[in-house]
Amino acid sequence: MNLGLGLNATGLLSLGSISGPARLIRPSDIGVLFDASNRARLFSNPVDTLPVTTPGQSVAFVPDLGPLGMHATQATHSARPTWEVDEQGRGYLAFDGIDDGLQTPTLAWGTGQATLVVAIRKDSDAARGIVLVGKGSQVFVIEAPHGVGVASLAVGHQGANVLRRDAVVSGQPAPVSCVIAGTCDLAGSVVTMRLNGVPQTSNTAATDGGVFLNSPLILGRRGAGSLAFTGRIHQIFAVNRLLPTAEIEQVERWMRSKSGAF
Amino acid sequence: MRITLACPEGLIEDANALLSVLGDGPADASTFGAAAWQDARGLSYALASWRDAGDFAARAGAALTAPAWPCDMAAALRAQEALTFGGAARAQAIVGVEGLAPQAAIQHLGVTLIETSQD
Repeated sequence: MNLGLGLNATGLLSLGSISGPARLIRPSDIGVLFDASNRARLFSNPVDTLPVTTPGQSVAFVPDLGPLGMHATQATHSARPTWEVDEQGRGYLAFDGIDDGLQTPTLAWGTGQATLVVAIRKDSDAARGIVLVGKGSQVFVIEAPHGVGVASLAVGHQGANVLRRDAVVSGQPAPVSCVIAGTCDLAGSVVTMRLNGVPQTSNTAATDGGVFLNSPLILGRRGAGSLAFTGRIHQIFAVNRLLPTAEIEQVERWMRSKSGAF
Repeated sequence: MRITLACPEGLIEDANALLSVLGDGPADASTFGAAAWQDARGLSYALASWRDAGDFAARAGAALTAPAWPCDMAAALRAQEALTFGGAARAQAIVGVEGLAPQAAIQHLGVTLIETSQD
C-alpha cells in the first residue's frame, strides 16, 4: 500500500492511503477519484468536521482519494446529495435531479486528453442529466441520459471549435446501473465509450484540437446548476491522459466490485 | 423529510434571503438558481429540494431571527409572506411540497424543465 500525504479542505495535514485506481494517477498527472461506498470518508459539512453517520444525511464533502486532494464540496445546503445504502449495503450518493451537485477546486488539466470512468444508476430519463463535467467551452462530459425522454448514455468532448462531439449508447432505459468508461482525445478528434467493460461506440468528428480548460469538475449537474442528474453516483475516476485498455479495465473491475453495477 | 420548493422567477431574490436566514450559512443565499422550470402557462420557476429534520415548515413560519451573516431581512420577510405549502406552482407564491420524492414533487408542482441548448 502506498501512503499519500496531503492537505485537506481545512488546510490540515492528513495521511491517507492511495489504493485502487488512485494508483493510476501518476505524480505528473491531473486526476481525481471519488468513492461514496464508505461513509467514513464523507462529511455533512463542507469543511470535513461532521462525519456522515446514517443513510439519508446530506453530503457536503466527498474526499478525492487521488494524490492531489481535489475534494468535491457543496456549500449550499439544498444542493447537497444524500448518502444512501442499497439493498446489498453498498453506499452511494443520491442526486435529486433538481439542484444537487458537488464541485472540486480548479484542476489545471493541461492536456486535450481524458479518461473518465463512473459507476452510476440512472433513475430517470425525463431530462438530460450531467454526471460529470467541467466549466467553460472546452470540456468533457458524461451524461445520463443524453437527451429529454431518451434512454441513452453519453461521453462527450468539446475542443477548439466549440462543437460537442458525443459517443452515445441508446437502449438504456432508467433505472439502469452501469459502469461507463470514456476516453476523450481532442488532438485525435476521438471520443470513445465503453459500457460495463465492453467497448460500445466512438465519435471521430473534428474537434480542431485544443486542451481542456482549467476548470473545477462538477458532479451531478452543469456548472450553472442546470441539467441535474437523477440517480446514484457510486464512484468517479478522471485523469488527464488516455489510459491503456488494461488500466481502464482495472478501474472498471474496481468500480464493479464496489458498486455492483454490473 | 424531503422539502421541495418552487419559486417564481420574480421572487428568487426574496426566497434566497429567506433560505439564508433559515440556512446553515451564507451559501444558502444561493439556494435558488436560474428559473429553469415552467408550468403549463409558461411561467418560470426555480426549484430547490433537500432533506431536512422535518421542521422546515415550522421554522419558516416562525418569527425570523437575523443570522450571523449579512442578509436582507426585509426580503426574507416578504418571502415568508409568500411561502405556502401544497398545490401546484403558481405566480406570487413560493410553493412547498413536503414528504414527496423529488420526481413526485416535480409532478405535484406541475412544472417541467425548460429545454436548453445542447451545451
